[in-house]
Amino acid sequence: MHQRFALTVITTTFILCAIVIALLPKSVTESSSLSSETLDGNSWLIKDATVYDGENWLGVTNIVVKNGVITAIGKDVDDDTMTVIDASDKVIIPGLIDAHTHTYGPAREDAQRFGVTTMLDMFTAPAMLSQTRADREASGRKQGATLFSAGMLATAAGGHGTQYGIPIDVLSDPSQAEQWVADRVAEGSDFIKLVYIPESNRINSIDLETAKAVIDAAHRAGLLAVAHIDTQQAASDLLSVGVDGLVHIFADSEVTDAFITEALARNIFVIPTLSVIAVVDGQAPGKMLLEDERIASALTTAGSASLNTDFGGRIPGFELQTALSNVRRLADAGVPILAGSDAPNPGTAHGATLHQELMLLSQAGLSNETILHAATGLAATRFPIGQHGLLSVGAPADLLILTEDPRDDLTATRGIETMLRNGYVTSRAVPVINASNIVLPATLADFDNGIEAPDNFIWSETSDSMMGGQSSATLTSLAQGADASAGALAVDANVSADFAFPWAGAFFGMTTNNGAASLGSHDTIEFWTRGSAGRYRLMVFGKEQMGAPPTLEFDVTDAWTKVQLDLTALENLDRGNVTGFAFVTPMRAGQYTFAIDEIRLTRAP
Amino acid sequence: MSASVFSPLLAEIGAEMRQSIRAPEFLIPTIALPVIFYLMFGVMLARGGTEGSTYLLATYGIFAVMGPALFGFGAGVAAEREKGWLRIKRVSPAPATGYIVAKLTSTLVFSCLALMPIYLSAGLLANVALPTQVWLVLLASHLLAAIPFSLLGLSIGFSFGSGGAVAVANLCFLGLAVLGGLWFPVMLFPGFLKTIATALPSFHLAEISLDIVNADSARPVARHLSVVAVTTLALAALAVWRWISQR
Repeated sequence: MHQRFALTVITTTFILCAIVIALLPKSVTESSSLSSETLDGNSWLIKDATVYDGENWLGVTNIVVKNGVITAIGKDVDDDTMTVIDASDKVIIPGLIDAHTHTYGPAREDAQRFGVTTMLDMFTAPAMLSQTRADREASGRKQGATLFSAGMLATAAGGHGTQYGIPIDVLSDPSQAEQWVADRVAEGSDFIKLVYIPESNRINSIDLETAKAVIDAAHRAGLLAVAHIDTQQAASDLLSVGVDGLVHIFADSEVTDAFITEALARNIFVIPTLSVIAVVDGQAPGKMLLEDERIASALTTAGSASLNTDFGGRIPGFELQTALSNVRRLADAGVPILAGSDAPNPGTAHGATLHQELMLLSQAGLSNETILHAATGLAATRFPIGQHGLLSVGAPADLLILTEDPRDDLTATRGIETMLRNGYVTSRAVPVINASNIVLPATLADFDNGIEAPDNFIWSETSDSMMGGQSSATLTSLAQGADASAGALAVDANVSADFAFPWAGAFFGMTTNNGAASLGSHDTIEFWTRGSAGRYRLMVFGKEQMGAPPTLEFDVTDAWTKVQLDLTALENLDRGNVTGFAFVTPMRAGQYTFAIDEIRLTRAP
Repeated sequence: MSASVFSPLLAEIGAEMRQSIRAPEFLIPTIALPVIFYLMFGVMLARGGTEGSTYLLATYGIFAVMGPALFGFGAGVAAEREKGWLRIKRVSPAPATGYIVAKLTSTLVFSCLALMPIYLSAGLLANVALPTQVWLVLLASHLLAAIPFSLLGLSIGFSFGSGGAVAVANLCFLGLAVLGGLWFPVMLFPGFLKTIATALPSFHLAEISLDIVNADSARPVARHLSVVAVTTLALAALAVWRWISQR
């Protein structure tokens, strides 16, 4: 009697739970924590998928993945000991390769969310190379795309590449080339990238002799040499001295038959980066990308903000129509075209823009099959990246399971149902950063009791020395504050001219690495300041912010003055994810002494 | 065969649940209190977005399983011990584990009964929507949370007389709930209370559930899981020690 009662109660409870769970509203988006946790492991039998292996369409095929590596692929391969992923009615393509990127901050993580599993970086800080090289061979779960990189670029003093604040080993003479390339090899560069824009009247360039010397030295070291050019003439010059590939298409003139013949004879490839040319040409392609929910849902706030920006005006010599027709004619002639985004330039975002580039290649007239090859297997035939971009035996199991066939609709590459990285089902969810638990207090600092900051925040010195510059700053406490208050913060700064964008000053930032705070209802920052006269800058830092921080300027004089700055003027500020404020000197070299006090956030009436 | 092995256990479970139902003064508050609280704080006061309701769904779920575990085991065991029932059990041929398993099953059943109204309030009144698997994993995390609390209840039941056990169970119930951040989010706590919270199993269990529903920022789940594992082992050791001390 007790038994039956127990069974009845347990069964009823079970059924009740099942009914309740069935009744509960379900969200459509998969939870990020779940997709990677419930499908654990890196060994699978993927059955009945329509497979593109990076070179050929294989029809309905099975793929065996063991410990993250593809061990068999074919119509009849089978292994009944393995967990099956049923991919019937699905299309599998290799993880995408973005053949032109610049890697800063969360670039690799951002790209991976869009199915980009390999990035060919065309210039980044050399420090990035050692960090990512170890990750390249690692067999575990991957947090971001696998990186192959040129590292430092070959450019002239004051040339393209020197404007980003990374110290550059510039070239002025062909005799430096051998050592220069040796230094890149030592740093771990996978290939050599040079900038050759001799016709530019805005910035300096290395000359053709130096370019040739760098290309020759690269080839002697067994490395590929690829080049940034801006005109057909520059491209022709480099063809004649043996460049292996162009990392942009020129858009200043229609490509000539002579150029096409020479390009074929020299067996070069081209990474057109039509997306960034479209931005320069004022087409705002990023804004269109944002309208696709499949893209928007995987973008961070910073990524969306970046897609909405541009270069601040059109630059002559970059006509999208010319670029499109040049790409078409080169492709028709048989010059290999690779897909690259040039993210994170204005108007682009890592990962997202590669999908844009595929569409622009389609607009240029390339077939969907050719474009898929351009974004996968073709790169592996040109760059020393092993089997990345290919689904073949021995390749890492980096693949995308798509719900639709990209041969019919190229945007199907955005509809990734499941992504495997090293065989692991890998989340494509945007990391949740919710700063609403910390709201910045109205009073950031009054310095009445020394250099104090509210909970979770700290004051520190900041200068370009963190990027390799020579400037420095010292913070001290003043007894007398502004507006008859008790104390103030004094900054002694020594700004050195050794850096492209020098700065020194005081930084108000969070004590944790991954924290962020919200501005709450505040929209104005006000403070008192005095010191060495000049136009100073307030920089606002945000979580996942890319590129230069949003900056407001203010004038400092010898007398205490109250400054009020409108934070809503900062277009790219993510007000929910602020990580700090920097009060820094003018950009000119020199000695500065300044004080700040009574820093408050307010709301404009 | 299997029926003969399980039927005494099922009988014990049935008896256990009958007994609980006959003592509604424990049952009603443990089932009704959490959902009433959730309706007040998680539904009525958390209007304007599902974020707050989702957050409190995770924490009130932990709160809901604490009642049956602490009172069912704490007060129940103490009362039965006082009546001499435990001494009879010890000399009876039925294994002592049956007694514990029966109590645990009954605790889980009542935990489900306490959880379901909260889930329904969250889903149907506060519009909390989660993928099916997340609802299921959340339910599992809430039910598994009953185990450490049951062990705590068991230790209380073995250590105090029936009156004392109710008082101590109540103290633990309220203390773990409030200080562990189950009623109000820990982020609203002043600094020293936050420190206290991190010492409580209820806090770590809630953090695991919060991670499952993906509330706000990323959480060090591995750390919370290991704290919970260590705490559970410690509570098990405590319960075994108190059981042995009975002799």
